[in-house]
Amino acid sequence: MIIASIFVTLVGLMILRVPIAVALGLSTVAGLLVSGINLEIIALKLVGSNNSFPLLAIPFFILAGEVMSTGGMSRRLVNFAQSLVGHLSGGLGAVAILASSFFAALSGSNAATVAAIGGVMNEPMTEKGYRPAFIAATIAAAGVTGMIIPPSILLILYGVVTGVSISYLFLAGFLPGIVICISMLILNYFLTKREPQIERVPFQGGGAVWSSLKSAFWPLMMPVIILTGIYGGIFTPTEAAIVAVAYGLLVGLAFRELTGKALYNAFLKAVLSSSVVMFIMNSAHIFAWLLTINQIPQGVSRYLAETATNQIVYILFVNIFLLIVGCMMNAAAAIVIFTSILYPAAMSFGIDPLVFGIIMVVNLSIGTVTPPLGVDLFIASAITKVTIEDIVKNVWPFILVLIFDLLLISYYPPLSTFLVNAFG
Amino acid sequence: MSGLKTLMDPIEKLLAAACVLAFATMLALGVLTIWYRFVIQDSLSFPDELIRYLFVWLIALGSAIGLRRNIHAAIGIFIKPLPTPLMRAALIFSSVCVIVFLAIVAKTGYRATLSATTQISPAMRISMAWLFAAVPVGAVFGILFTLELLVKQAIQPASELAADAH
Repeated sequence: MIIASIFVTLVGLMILRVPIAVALGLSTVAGLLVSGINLEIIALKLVGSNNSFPLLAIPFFILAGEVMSTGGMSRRLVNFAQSLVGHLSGGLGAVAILASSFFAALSGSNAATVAAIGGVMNEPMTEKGYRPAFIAATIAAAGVTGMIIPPSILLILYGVVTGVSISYLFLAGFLPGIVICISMLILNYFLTKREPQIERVPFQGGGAVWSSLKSAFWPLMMPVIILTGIYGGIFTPTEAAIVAVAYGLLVGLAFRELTGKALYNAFLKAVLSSSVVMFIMNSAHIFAWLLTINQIPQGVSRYLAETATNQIVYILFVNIFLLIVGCMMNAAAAIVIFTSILYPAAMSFGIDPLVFGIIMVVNLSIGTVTPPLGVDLFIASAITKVTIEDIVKNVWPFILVLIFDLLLISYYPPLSTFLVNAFG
Repeated sequence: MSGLKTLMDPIEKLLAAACVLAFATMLALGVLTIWYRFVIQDSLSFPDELIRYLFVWLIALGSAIGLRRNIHAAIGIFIKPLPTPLMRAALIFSSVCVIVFLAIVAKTGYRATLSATTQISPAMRISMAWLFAAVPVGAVFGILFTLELLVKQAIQPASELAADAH
């Protein structure tokens, strides 16, 4: 009865365009009223869930991404990627994918990645004869790496909810992110073969590679510093995020591309993006707590343990379920709510907590490029002025490849655990 | 309508400046803590606590600004195809929901703040009311901004209305 009232309220409100955070909050209120629990718990949980040091990694990684874009680093990364692979068949498509993966290693979100790289790549790709809908689909899909290649906001949220080490999660996300990047590069090669109107860009020579590498050297060193700092046990992820911002500011100042006004705006943009994520996270946190005190995760876990016969079936179920959820729901809300529901059962099936985290994040990231509610699609549409419908017609090959990657990552755990075992 | 805007614009500017200042302070304190730990090899406990408290305030005020700018994630796809009067009704309903929720948050947050006045924070030795007050304060600003949005949704022409339904 309580469960029914919570979920009916939630779905009803979301359909009527109530902000997701508020829909989650009001359904929790409904659930609390039905269960006769004092509403004061809402205020206590709101403060309690934000008063956390690990969560601070989120605003600081978002800020690092903003400082990087403002300081002219996305252009430098694109130039470097272009000198490396720009002359290949479908070169600029490959540049967009590769540069997105570089940028993903600087920022924790796919939305930031699509906005930063898409903004730089749209014009040169159009000039060289790429179809606008193809450009939009490529930059939207390439943004998926933003959530998987560390740092990643979703992995931080998963770590905070489950208590799994965020450092290890970052390490676990590394190879799956590279696999996704490579598979998209291969897909791009075949897709662009069928588009004869695309002009080839001549190879600029080794000198160009060297000079663009020099100009992109300091931005490219940032992930190296962050990752060695975290895995060397020197920094916690939050400290690494703080170092990333400080480093980005220093490099931006050295390039003389940061002005006071631009810096203020970068901070404000980071405040607003963090607030959007955290508002949802907070509400999802109280919502998940309400589910837990009503024994819902335990019930689901028991039901699944009886229904799914083994690990393989359970992982398949989780994949199908999360792909559907990812199409409908904001990834940050989904990871907080469904981790608390699906995690206990995953543990009873003996799935590695790191691998399960990567599976969840890859699933929900795919949801950012699927209709009807993919965030990446909306950003790519805003940049290229292509309608969502046209992007969707071009993005499905990428989605198929992503689902193939997802199955590979799900059923070949060493992809996630290899680096952790080697360095952890 | 424009009078309401002239009233709200400076409030938003002020909150935004407060958030940026808080964020910059958090960054400076974070760098300071790391510096202390590695260079001076000593740990400071107060910055850690202050950073977390500022973070709670930052999110409370930042979420309120987000409401005015209508940037919080929502699913607009189902109400977009509706005829204008129905779409307007749905948008107004959604704003009313936001106000109801924030009113609950403000009320419970206010009570939580009152009961936290006697608790003292472990590191800075200040009243915990400073921390809890972020919740009702953020909620009240959120209500103000949503009321403005509500007036706008009620009177603006159909062409501008669709832009709100994203």
